[in-house]
Amino acid sequence: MDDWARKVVIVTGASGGVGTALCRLLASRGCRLGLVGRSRVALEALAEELRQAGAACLACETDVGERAAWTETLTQFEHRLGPADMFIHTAGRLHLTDPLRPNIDDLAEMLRVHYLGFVYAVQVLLPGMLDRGRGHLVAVGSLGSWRGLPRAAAYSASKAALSTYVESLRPPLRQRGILLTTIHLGLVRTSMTDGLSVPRPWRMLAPDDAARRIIRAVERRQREAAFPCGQAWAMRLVHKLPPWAFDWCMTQADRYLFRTAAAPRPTP
Amino acid sequence: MSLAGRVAVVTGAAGGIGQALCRALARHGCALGLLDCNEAGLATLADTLASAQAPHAAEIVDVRRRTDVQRAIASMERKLGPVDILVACAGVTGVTLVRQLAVEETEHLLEVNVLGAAYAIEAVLPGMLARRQGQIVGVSSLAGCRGMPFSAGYSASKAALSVFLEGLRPPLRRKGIYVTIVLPGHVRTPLMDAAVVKPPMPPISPDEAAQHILRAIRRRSRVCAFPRRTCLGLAYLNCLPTRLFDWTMTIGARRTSDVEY
Ligand SMILES: NC(=O)c1ccc[n+]([C@@H]2O[C@H](COP(=O)([O-])OP(=O)(O)OC[C@H]3O[C@@H](n4cnc5c(N)ncnc54)[C@H](OP(=O)(O)O)[C@@H]3O)[C@@H](O)[C@H]2O)c1
Ligand SMILES: NC(=O)c1ccc[n+]([C@@H]2O[C@H](COP(=O)([O-])OP(=O)(O)OC[C@H]3O[C@@H](n4cnc5c(N)ncnc54)[C@H](OP(=O)(O)O)[C@@H]3O)[C@@H](O)[C@H]2O)c1
Repeated sequence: MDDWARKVVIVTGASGGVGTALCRLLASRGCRLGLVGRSRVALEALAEELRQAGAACLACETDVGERAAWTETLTQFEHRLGPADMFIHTAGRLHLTDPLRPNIDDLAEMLRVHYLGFVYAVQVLLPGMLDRGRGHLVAVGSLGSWRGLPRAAAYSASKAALSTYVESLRPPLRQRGILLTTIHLGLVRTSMTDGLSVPRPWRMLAPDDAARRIIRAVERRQREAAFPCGQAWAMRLVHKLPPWAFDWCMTQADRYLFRTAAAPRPTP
Repeated sequence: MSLAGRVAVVTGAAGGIGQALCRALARHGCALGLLDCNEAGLATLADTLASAQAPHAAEIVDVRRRTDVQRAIASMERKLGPVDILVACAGVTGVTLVRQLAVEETEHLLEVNVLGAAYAIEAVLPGMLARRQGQIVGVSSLAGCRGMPFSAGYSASKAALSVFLEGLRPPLRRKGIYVTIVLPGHVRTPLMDAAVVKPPMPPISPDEAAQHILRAIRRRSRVCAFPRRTCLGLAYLNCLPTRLFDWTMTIGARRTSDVEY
C-alpha cells in the first residue's frame, strides 16, 4: 500500500512484542487499527497510548483459536472501523517440545492459534476483499518452520501449516488483486524468547526493527520475506540438507545448545 | 531388517494404500493391528488376512478420538504383543477454493491428518522408548512440500505432519526408534476421487505404493518419497523463485482443472 493514511488494519497479537511495535508504526502512519490479543490490560494500555497519539483504534480481547468469538470480533471491527484493507496475523505461542514425550495438547493449541486463527480470519475478511478487488493478508511465520527443529517440533509444524496454506492461496488471490505476504521471522527479543539464549554468531532482532522490516516487505508487495539475514541464510542452507545430514546437524546443535541446560548447575 | 514376527499397527488400514500395505506386511510375516473407521473395508481386509492365516486384530476407531486410539492400541498389544512398527496412514483430503474456503473441512483435515497421527504416536511411543526399539512411519504427502493449487487445507495439514515428524526424528533415532516420513505422489485410491485436478502425471497403483513403503520400513529410511517423476517435478518447483512458482502453479492449475482457480 502506497498510502497508509486512514487504511483499516487489523493486527492480532497486538499485546505482544512484535505486534505492539507494528501497531505503533502503523498508527504513526495514520492507519485505523483493530487490535487483538488476549490480555485486556495490555491491549487497553496500547489502545490508549495510540489514541493519545491521535490514531483511531479499537481493541478487543479475543482468542483467535475460538472461531465464533473471533468471527464476531472481526465483524464488529469491520462494522465500526470500515472494511479491512489489511490483516496482519502476529498472534502466536511457543511451547517447546520434548521429543521423547511430545505434548499433543500443545501441538493442537499452536495449530489453532497460528494456523486456524488465520484461516478463520480469511474466511470472514476475504469475501469483502474479493468484492472490492483489493486487500492484503500478512502471516507472520517463522524461519523455524522450514525444517522440523527437534526442540520446537510442534511449533515448527504449526507455522509450516500457516505458510503452506498461504502459499496455496497466494497465486489465485493475487490475480484478483489480493496480496498475501508470509514473513519468515528469525529470533526477536520479546517475551516469547525470554530465557532462550542464542549461540554467539547470532543476535536477536529488536521488536521495532522486526516491525520496520515487516512493513517494508508489505509496502514492496513482497510475497515472502525472511530476516534477519544471517539466520535466513543459515536456514536456507539447513533447508537444502539431505535427511541424514539434517539429523546429524540437529543432534550436534542439540548437544551444543542444550549442553548447559542438561548439566546440573553449580550452586554458588 | 527382517519383518517376520514383528507387530505392525496400521491406521487407515481399510484405505487404498493401507490395505495394500497390510497385505504386503502380512506376506512378510508381520502380525497386524488394523485401525480404521470404515467398518466394511476393515472386515474385508480382516477376511483376506484370516484366509492367509496371518495373525491380526482389527478395531473400528475414529483416529480423532484420543482415548479410543489409546484403548484400541492397548487392546491390540494385549492380543499381538508390543508394537514394533506403527504406520499412521489414516488420512482425508479436501478441496479449498477461493470462493469456498470450506473451513469446517479444513479443521477436519487437521484433526485427522495431523492430530490423528499424533495420537497414534503418543499411544505407542512410551512402550517403544522403554524397549529402546521401534519404528514410526507417518504417511504424509508430496502435496505437503509446497502449497498446491486447490489444496490449501490439505497441503497445510500434510506440511504440519511432515515437519512434526522431522522434528521428532533425530532425538528418537538416538533412542533406537526410527521415524520414516512417507511422501506419496498420486496413488490410484478412493482418496483421489475427490480431487478436482487431473494428476499431471499418471498415478501409480496402491500395490506399487505399498512396495515403496515396505522397502523404506526394511531399510529404516528417513524419508520415502515416490514416484520418482513427481519428486523430480517437485525438486524443479523448489528451485524456482517465488514469483515463478506462483506463475507455474497458475498455469498448471488452469491446464489440469476445469474448476475456476
Ligand atoms: N520472538 C521470536 O523470536 C519469534 C521468532 C519467529 C516467529 N515469531 C512469531 O512472531 C509472532 C509475534 O511474536 P512475539 O515475539 O511478539 O511474541 P509475544 O510477545 O509472546 O506475543 C504473542 C502475542 O500473541 C498473542 N496471542 C497468543 N495466543 C493468542 C490467542 N490464542 N489469541 C489471540 N492472541 C494470542 C499474545 O497475546 P497475550 O499476550 O495477550 O496473551 C501476544 O499478543 C508470533 O506469531 C511468533 O510465533 C517470533
Ligand atoms: N492416494 C493418493 O494419491 C495419496 C497421495 C499422497 C498421500 N496420500 C496419503 O496416504 C494415506 C492413505 O491414503 P489412501 O489413498 O489410501 O486413502 P483412502 O483410500 O481414502 O484411505 C484412507 C483411510 O483412512 C480412513 N480414515 C479417514 N478418516 C479416518 C478417521 N477419522 N479415523 C479412522 N480412519 C479414517 C478412511 O476411512 P473411510 O473410507 O471410512 O473414510 C480410509 O479407510 C492418506 O494419509 C493420504 O493423505 C494419498
